[in-house]
Amino acid sequence: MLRRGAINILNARRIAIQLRSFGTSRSCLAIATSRKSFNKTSQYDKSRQRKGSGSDKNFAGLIRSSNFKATAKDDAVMELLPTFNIVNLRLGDVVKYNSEVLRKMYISGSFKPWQYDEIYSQPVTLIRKKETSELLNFHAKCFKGTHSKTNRLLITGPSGIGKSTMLAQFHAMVFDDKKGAVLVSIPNAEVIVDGSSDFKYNAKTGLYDQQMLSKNLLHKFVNANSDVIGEIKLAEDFVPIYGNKKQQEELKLTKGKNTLLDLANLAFKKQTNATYIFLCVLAELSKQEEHPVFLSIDNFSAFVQHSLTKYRNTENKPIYFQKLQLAKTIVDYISGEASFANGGVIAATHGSDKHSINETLKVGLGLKQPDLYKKLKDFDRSLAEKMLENEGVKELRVGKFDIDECQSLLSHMMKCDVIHNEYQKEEEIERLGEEQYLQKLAERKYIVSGNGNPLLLIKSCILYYT
Amino acid sequence: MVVHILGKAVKGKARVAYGLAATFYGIGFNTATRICSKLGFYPEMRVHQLTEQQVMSITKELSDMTIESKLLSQIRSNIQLKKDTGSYAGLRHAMGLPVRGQKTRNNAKTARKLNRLDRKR
Repeated sequence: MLRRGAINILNARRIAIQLRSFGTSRSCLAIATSRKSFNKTSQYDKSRQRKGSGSDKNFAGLIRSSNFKATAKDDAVMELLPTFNIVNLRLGDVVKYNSEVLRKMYISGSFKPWQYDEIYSQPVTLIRKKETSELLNFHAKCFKGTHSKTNRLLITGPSGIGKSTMLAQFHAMVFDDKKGAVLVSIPNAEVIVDGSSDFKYNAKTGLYDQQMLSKNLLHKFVNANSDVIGEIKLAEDFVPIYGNKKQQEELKLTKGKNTLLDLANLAFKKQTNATYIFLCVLAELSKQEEHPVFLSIDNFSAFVQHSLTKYRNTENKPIYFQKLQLAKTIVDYISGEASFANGGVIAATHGSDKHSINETLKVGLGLKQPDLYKKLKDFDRSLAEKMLENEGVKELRVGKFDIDECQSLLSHMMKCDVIHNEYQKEEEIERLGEEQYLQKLAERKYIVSGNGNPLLLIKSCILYYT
Repeated sequence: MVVHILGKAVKGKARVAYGLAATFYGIGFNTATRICSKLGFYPEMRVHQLTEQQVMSITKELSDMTIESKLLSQIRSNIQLKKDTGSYAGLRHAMGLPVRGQKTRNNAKTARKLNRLDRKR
């Protein structure tokens, strides 16, 4: 049997060898060209296109792309909610934002995907008794026509405590004001240093320009403030530093005639140095006194965490963050070296533990004496010294919720029907009554959330199923 | 989408440094990063974002380096020299066994895979 099998295989190979063609005649080539590939279909069949599971996205990406808020059924509750208003703050209450303010806040990046705003049809906020009041005082001080050199605030606190929410409330205060304030928002300072945008050495300044990022920031700025900056006339002529004479003549803007909007729009219409335009816009804003100007930076601690950025110079050495034009400009405004004639600078840190052992911010806020022998990764002396300049940056330490604040937020969540892990709810309401039950729930959640951490409180209500 | 650099297809969606390191024999991540830094590419830049001029500049950098077949033939000639001089290292290469005193009671998998006179990778 084996021998017969072997003979069969030999025969088969012989036949295959006989059939194999070694010729390169024209007829062979003609057949080869007309032959179709088996791998590729001639036409793309759209019916076979499948929508992805969404598992290729991370949590933040999923939240941004999926319209979860469309499924919320809280229209009746939202209609009755009071609107955020700086004249009557409604301390301790949950409020919604005005629709125009909300639009501008979305553009400015006030809401972050890990804040669980998607459980409602629109973002709401709890007005904190101490923190929001302090923020309002800071806002009022800025509106008294004082220099931004004296109005510098850094919002600090542990993870999930509501620093970005405080910043969002400040944005709402700025946009809600009828005096026509301007907000320059940098929603995440990490994008400046994380190597995600292009960079080019500018021999004139000795710093690195980031064109794509500047354009992106200008886009946010224009869309959020177009109504106000369309009224601000340029204080100086703008002549581009790039292009030939003809182009420079074409793009030239005249003081008193052209507006700040014209200047900002140059970054989108022509192939220009967007970083230079961004700096010119900030310079123009600094000079004018009519409209208060606010610079807001979230995740400011990225400059501490990535003091040596992901970018590398031509010798493959990491670039120090103050060598990047945008980062340096922000630090200049934080230090008071550059300032707005009327307005303020507000920043918030990131709650991550990664920079908690770093002493830069503590020294910069004057809370600690510097240890000058520490390495750059543990202490950035340059940044700390800059923060201490011009009487120093003031700190707003965000604290935990008290039981009343917990109760207020829980009451709103119950009305919106977003708490699904309270299985004994109906029995307990029957036994205790609604008010008593809410009080008891607040006490319970207060303990579960580590004595009132807002993020843990929300998570304990909407994520945990027991 | 792929981009052809030095006649080799580099994945378009990969970061430039990863793409170069994964495609060319003799280029690791460190060397690829050094090339990117020298040419001023930002760390998150993808291969498909490279302009024709930038591809040419990468090609110029790579052509000055000992990579691919040039590197492989250099390694082979080094091994052959060891064999020709009758050294112990040459013998161990020829036998497909570890060269630097590693034990051979178990495994020695890497040596069995790679060590030979006509080395493949």
